[in-house]
Amino acid sequence: MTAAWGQVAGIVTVVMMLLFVGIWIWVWNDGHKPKYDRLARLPMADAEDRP
Amino acid sequence: MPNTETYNDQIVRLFLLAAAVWGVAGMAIGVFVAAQLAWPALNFDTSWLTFSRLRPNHTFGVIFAFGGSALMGTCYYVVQRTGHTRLALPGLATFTFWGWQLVCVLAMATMPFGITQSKEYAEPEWFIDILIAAVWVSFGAVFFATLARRRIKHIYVANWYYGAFIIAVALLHIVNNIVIPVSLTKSYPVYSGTVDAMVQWWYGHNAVAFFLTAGFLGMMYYFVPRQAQQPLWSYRFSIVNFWALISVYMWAGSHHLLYTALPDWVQSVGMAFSILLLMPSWGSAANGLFTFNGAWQRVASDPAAKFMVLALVFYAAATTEGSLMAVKTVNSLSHYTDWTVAHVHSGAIGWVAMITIGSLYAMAPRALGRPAMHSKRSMELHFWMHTAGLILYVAAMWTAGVTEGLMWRATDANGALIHPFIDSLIAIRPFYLIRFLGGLLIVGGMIVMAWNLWHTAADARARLIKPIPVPIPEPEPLQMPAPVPARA
Repeated sequence: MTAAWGQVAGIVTVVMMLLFVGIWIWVWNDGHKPKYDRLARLPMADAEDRP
Repeated sequence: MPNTETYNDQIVRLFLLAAAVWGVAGMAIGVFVAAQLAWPALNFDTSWLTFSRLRPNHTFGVIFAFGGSALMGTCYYVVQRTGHTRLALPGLATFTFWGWQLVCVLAMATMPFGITQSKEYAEPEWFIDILIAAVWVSFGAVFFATLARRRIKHIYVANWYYGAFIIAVALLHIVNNIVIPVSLTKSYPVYSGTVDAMVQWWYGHNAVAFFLTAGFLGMMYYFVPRQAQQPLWSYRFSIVNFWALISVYMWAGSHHLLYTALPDWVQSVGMAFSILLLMPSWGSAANGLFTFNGAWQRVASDPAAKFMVLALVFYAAATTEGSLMAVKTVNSLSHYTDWTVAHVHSGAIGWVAMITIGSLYAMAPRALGRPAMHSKRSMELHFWMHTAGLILYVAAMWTAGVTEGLMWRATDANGALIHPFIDSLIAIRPFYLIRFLGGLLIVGGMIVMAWNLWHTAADARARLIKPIPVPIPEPEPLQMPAPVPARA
């Protein structure tokens, strides 16, 4: 592995880690909670509307 | 708005039937090859009946024919229910069914006769691979076209997993099968040496990751809350686990090539990412198990839920074991032994088969127009046969694997090997017999399930069932893309 390639690999690794932490923060944003609560119940509807 | 749209469950029923048939066939071949290891005379000195020729039929039969049919059927079921819309491109969906069945028949009819690429889990020759690619791209087109016409704004997390499964498997299959055909039945890969090995195990490991994990997690994230009749324990945790799983899994394949000609740093990368995989694996297992919190009484009385709970326990256990086995020092004991066979079957029979069977039992009555499965007692019988068979199988193979590993590495004071190889074969033969008995119980359970499904499908065979109407919700404000109106 060349030195330049090593720098790129290091930067990409840090960016990916920050992105993952960012996803975590974004998902835990309280603004999403009502939507997620609704979605968490979505599979139950299939059995509830059974004829 | 008048409710005139119905779910397309016809295609779901076809895949359900195929899954039951391939499940029995694939596992029966597994029992036969297990018997050959215990009683080698069972190859009858016939080339196409030898273990090496039939073993790929077992793996292809259970992974791609049984698992693939179950995945495609449940995927079509789930994407309609979670989007409140009818399946798009019905003609192409029908092609995916018949195309996939043709793939499975061609693969299993050619491999015993030596028509094979000799790449694990990618054995079928080039002409079958082209058909697989065509069917898979069509499957993706049907799935994503259905998602595009959904009436629920947010894409439910099960579909994220199904989507990742479809995209990644297409990528893996095409890259790993780039070959130069020299005749109808023979081709050579464009890769060679260590690169060929790395591409193959990038494929092989990610077939486990995206076919046997992401796809079945899609199944789990829909059918576990549905069967528990409880909301998913943490929806946002499921999203974090999704991104963690798909970003980490791709880099772990080199753990299949520890102590080989592969550069040492690539082996270490595979080992490190395998440890990281514990997070999304435990995360999804915990999310599924906690979803049953408050509904454990349902588990006691519902065999389908029992299958799901045990599947999640084995998912957590098998992934923990996999991360452990990817550590070089552990791998030096486990590799090339039956411990690997124990590991893959604890994942395949414990996680994959049990979440599939639980989901099929949950889905079948709805898709077949019945309030419940024909026989709950036979579901219960199936659960206990499968569980007993699984425990016998993995306990026998774990013991055999550790026995082999310890005997192969035992040396005397001069560094000479203590045990001739044949001694290790003699030592593990009793465990091969136990494994065979475990397999018999498992395939017996599958026959019970097929019988139960056949009777549950009586109304469907008589064409008495009515299509289920799609519930049309009020559009959400600023919904993007805009919902497609109901069709007459």
